[in-house]
Amino acid sequence: MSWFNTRSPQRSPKIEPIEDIQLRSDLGQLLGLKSSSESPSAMQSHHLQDLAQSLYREALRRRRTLRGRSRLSWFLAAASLPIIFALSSWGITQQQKAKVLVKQIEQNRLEQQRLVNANQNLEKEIQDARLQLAKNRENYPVVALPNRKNEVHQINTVKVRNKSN
Amino acid sequence: MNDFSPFGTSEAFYAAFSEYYPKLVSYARRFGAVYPEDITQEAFVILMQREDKIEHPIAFLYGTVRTLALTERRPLKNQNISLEFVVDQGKEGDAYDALLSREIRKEIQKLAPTFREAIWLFVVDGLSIREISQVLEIPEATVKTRIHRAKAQLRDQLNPGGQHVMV
Repeated sequence: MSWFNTRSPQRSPKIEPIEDIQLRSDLGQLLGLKSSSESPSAMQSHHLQDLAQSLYREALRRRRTLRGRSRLSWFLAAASLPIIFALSSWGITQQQKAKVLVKQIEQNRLEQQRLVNANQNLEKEIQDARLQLAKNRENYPVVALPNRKNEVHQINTVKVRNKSN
Repeated sequence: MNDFSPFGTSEAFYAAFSEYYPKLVSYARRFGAVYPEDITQEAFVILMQREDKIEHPIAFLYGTVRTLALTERRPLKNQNISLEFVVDQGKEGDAYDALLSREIRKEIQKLAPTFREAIWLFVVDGLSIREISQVLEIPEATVKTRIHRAKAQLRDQLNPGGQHVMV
């Protein structure tokens, strides 16, 4: 059975305040509206019926398409869930690894810093020790040794002098 | 069909379609739509496609036709066009020809386009104030104000002496 049977349509009457109806009537009179209550011809009516039916079919088709499309979206979403899960678990693992690495790098940096500090302390101690040594040396006067050549010459000279005397 | 049509029953839908299809085509034509029939048919399909309940299907149809007609006229995306431009450039006059006398047509053209539209929807298309407010997306009070002002302006134009005679 066709859905658009042309039985007398039972439409719910429009509920409007009386003043609105009065206003419409006033305006209609003011504008001198010609009545346009010509009933459509049989051919026109048939054309409208066909049109209404085809529009109804088109709306149904679009509804089905939309439903199918949404079903496909759900299917795709469900299919992508394991991939999303795998990717996220891989990401979490990577994140944990990165955290461990960061910790290690931090420890290395601290160790390096500790070694640098120790090295600096040692250098300072060596420097201090050298200075202390230098200070200690200053306490004992150093007598310069005579030149060996001069010494011989002097001795010789002395000897000569003694001979001449 | 009963759960499908926002009009309740198939008979009610067909009756509404027969009654409003020509009016909506005329409404789309007022905005200068190149394909008013296509726009109206598309509006009906969009309405019937909806799964949620629509309280005022006629207002929804008018609003959709209005939007589609304005979109069709819009040369570029996101470009605003005034209603004055659209309606005056459109074939509003053709729609008036069938219903109004020459004198009234001349006087009605003097009204602001927003007033003309409100009056047209209220008197010719027979929409309620609430439906018009939904179509135009303005408060009901604004619709009433526009209609009353248009009425007063028309009265003044038709009876410049001040004597209000019913035409």
